[in-house]
Amino acid sequence: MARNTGKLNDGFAKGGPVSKLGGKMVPREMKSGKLVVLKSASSARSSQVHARTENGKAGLAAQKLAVLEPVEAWCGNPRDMRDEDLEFFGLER
Amino acid sequence: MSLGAGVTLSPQLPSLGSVHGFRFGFGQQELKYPHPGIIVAAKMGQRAGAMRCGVIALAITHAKQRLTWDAVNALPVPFDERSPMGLDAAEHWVCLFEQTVAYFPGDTKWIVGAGSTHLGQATQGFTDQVIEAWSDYRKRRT
Repeated sequence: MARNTGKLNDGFAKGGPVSKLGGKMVPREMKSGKLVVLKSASSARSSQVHARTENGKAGLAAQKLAVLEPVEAWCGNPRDMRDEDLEFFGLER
Repeated sequence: MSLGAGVTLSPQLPSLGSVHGFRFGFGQQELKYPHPGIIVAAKMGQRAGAMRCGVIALAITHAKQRLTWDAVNALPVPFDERSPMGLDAAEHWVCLFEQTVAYFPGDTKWIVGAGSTHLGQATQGFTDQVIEAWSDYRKRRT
């Protein structure tokens, strides 16, 4: 099945025009208003971890969705997993 | 790695089938879109000389996915699963084609303690279904 990047992000930050905010690429929707709130990591008991909350429009996004901020992440199709990730999790390609 | 939904081998590992907020790429490198993600693998281990908690999570989206009988690329979230998973009552799909591999510091007590990032937990049955479908999808090349 082909990806539908437009609809997949319905209700959340969308693609399209982006701008710089704090040196990081963010969608324009996230920049405007008070959508992005960086919470203190102290409650998370780690100085390296931040929980970021964002407002959306509908459904789940009506709540504030906090996201985990890892020290390292890779996103993509599971068929394209990096060898090092496969090895870490003991998975076969 | 944990063996099943709700079963955590270490108190520092998130359970398989637990749902947290993650950022996903959806084909882009720079932007990470916030979506709920269901954890299908979790493991503590050494990475680049440091102890890390690694998790693999699949994106959950409202966007309707097209299914065919011979190529399962997404799983609809059953209605009864939505509330326990922290999702609203609208239709949701687990995207087998969009995952994040995330590594966290060795002290991962925050994953439970962070609270607001933890949305809920899928049942054992649905978790097993998702993991099996994800495994099949990974190995299917056509």
